[in-house]
Amino acid sequence: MKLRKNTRKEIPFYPDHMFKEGIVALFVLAVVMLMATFLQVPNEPVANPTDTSYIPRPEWYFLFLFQALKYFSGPTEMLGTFLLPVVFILILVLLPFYDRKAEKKWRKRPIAISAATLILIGIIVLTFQAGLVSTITLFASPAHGKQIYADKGCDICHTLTGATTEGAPDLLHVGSRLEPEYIFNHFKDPEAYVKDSSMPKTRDLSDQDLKDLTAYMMSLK
Amino acid sequence: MSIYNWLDKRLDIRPGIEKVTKHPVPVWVNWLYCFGGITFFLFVLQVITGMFLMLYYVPSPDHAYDSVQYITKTVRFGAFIRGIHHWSATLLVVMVVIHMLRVFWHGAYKTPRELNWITGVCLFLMIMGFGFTGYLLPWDQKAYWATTVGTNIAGTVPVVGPFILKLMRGGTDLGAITLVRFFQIHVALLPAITITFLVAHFFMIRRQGINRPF
Repeated sequence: MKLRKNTRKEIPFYPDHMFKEGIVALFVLAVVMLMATFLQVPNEPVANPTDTSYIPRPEWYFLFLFQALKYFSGPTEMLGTFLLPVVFILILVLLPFYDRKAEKKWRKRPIAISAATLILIGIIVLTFQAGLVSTITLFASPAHGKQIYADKGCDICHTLTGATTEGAPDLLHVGSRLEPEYIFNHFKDPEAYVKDSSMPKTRDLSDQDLKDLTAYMMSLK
Repeated sequence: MSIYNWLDKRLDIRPGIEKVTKHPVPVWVNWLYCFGGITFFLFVLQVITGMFLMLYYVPSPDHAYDSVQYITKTVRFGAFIRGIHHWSATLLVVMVVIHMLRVFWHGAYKTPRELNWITGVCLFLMIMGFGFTGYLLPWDQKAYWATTVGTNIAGTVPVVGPFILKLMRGGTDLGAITLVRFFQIHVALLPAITITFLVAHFFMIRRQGINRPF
């Protein structure tokens, strides 16, 4: 029996192949049921359209795209939000039409395999980076932030020269020192972050204003 | 077997059924080839659990959040069904990507299987669409604000961006109409398109046979 089986070139879809597929399906079902039993579906408060300070995160499989957007802001934003996804989809859809060699063994397709590996590594790196990255400045205007900085008289205490200062810190490289979440939340209540801070709370600025101001701070690298 | 014979006498189903079941599968097909099947299995799970969730879910800003809470806390097996829907959605994305990588690895997208590769990419985009629209339905903070950002991103498309933004939201702001829209796309439009593409995907596999990667 065993001998006969080994010499066969094909097996029937049913029952032989179906049996294997069925075992895999049952295993997957078991995994999903265990996850549903022991893992908590994330629970969040009800949507509040007036709470503009909430910082959303997309589902994990969109994070790489989200992270990629970070490298495009202001006038080039469209490159990240539109061009990049479209190019990515076109690369996928058109694959059989620009990779036309009949060769199928992966060892003999060094260019295709290494290109795909690079893209895959890029996506994985972006996904992990996104774990540390915020969305505060995604739709914020650094130019408007700069205007607020001048209008509100931030420059009365702060300098942008790189000088060593006492009290209010110099902000020349603040964007590379601090995370946007920190800057944004710090604006709302400086004393909560810096003990005995003499910086006033920014009560009369909207969340969008604060996001713009944060975007300006982040542009100071 | 008597039901089978009864049906066969009247509808002559034997040739059709045997064509499907007796279809030969090459012996070198190993476990690497199971990811497409797993993806399909998970999709079926999504359809079934989705139907159960729809019995209680209400797509309106006033009730969506509460109805999801009700499913999770009060309905018998509600948390379990929702859990399966949530976690198999996550696995589905993983499996569809692994399936795609396997197909790429084996060069299965090459002539004459270009069309099947394209339907596969379309199915992948459908899955992403399910993820994006499903994210809004619980109507919690994450759902609301992630969809705000997501639709804003669509709004940056040159020329047609503002139109797409308005079309997705059903107005300028995200609200009741947006929720119904996303719900409809999630439970009617995308399933219909996805099932059509799945039929095409499977038909082509049968027609062309499994790709021989060596």
